[in-house]
Amino acid sequence: MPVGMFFPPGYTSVESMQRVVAGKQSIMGAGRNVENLNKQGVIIVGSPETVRRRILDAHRELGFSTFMTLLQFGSLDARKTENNIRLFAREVLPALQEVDDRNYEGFRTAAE
Amino acid sequence: MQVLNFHLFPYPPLPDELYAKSAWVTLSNTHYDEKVGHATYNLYLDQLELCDQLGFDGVAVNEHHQTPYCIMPSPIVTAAALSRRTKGKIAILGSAFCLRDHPLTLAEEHAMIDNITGGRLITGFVRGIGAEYSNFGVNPTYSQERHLEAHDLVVQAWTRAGPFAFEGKHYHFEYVNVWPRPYQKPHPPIWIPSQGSSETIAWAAHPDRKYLYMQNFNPYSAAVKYLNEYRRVAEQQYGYEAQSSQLGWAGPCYVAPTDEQAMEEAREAIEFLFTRP
Repeated sequence: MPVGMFFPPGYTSVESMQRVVAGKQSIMGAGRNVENLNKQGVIIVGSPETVRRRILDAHRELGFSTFMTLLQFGSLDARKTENNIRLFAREVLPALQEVDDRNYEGFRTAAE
Repeated sequence: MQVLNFHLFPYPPLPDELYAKSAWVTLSNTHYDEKVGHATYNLYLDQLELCDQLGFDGVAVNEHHQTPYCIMPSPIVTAAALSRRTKGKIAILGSAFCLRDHPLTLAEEHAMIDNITGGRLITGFVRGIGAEYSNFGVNPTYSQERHLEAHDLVVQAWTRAGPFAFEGKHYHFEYVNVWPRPYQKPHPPIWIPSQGSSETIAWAAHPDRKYLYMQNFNPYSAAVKYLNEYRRVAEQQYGYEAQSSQLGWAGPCYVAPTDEQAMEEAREAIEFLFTRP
């Protein structure tokens, strides 16, 4: 998207614009392949064990109550999407729904 | 934790050269095919209903305009279609109330869905991305002001006894008296999806609001930074301890039997999502 369309005049402060651009560059910059995006944690791709562990690790560090995923994205076709939904629901979802603040390390630990 | 599945409703891939300038605002709708659209909408609704049947806590939808990136200009329509065929939560993340000259029409529609579903609605408040100010012919300079004022108007419309008059800088209504009132009291939970604006975090964390802050699809380091910033602002600026119920994290997932298979199967679609302008 042309920059002028993304940030029409006055839409946001210069400071916020710079912060968003910096954040976006790491996603939209040179290394926007699946390996880099997965390494940065923009996406979570892997076996059920891998995906479960990464979300649970993030929860332990940050303690969020809600995880929102996106199981159809871009050009992902109907068959792969259904497989993704069914495997996530069977192998990942139950383990996530079990955890709560007892699994959270706490703010002070996380903030160090 | 609770787990929701979000859907962007992307239009199936068009020839590459069409995305070269922009996939937003100016990509001509002459490339839209209604038969493709019919099949796509129903496929995506089926996918969200499947998530509901398989035990997700809810599904989430959002709003974008004039783009094949997301053929969901009205998440209200999607939420309404889902409302009678699902049991879990329906999160509209969000509606851009401030793009409208009459935010109360959206307040009414959210309230209807909350009533039909018996209180399964979550309402997201967003400003709309910059491009949408071109779509609506709204002056982007007033975006933040209208966003905050539309929020106050809508929350008052949901909670105060009507009729009352609302006199803001941008919105003026002599009679605010929304029928129906929301099913949930005082109103549906309000979530704030964001990329990490400090102003947004401080506003969402304010003791009058304590809204759930949802860190959108960004590198994990951004989630660490901004979710901890919310807790820090709550403690240092407002003097209370933020609860985990005020925080959410979002990330696309692809699962397959092995890591290698998952990467290979996800590659094309993920790279499509992150490389089309």
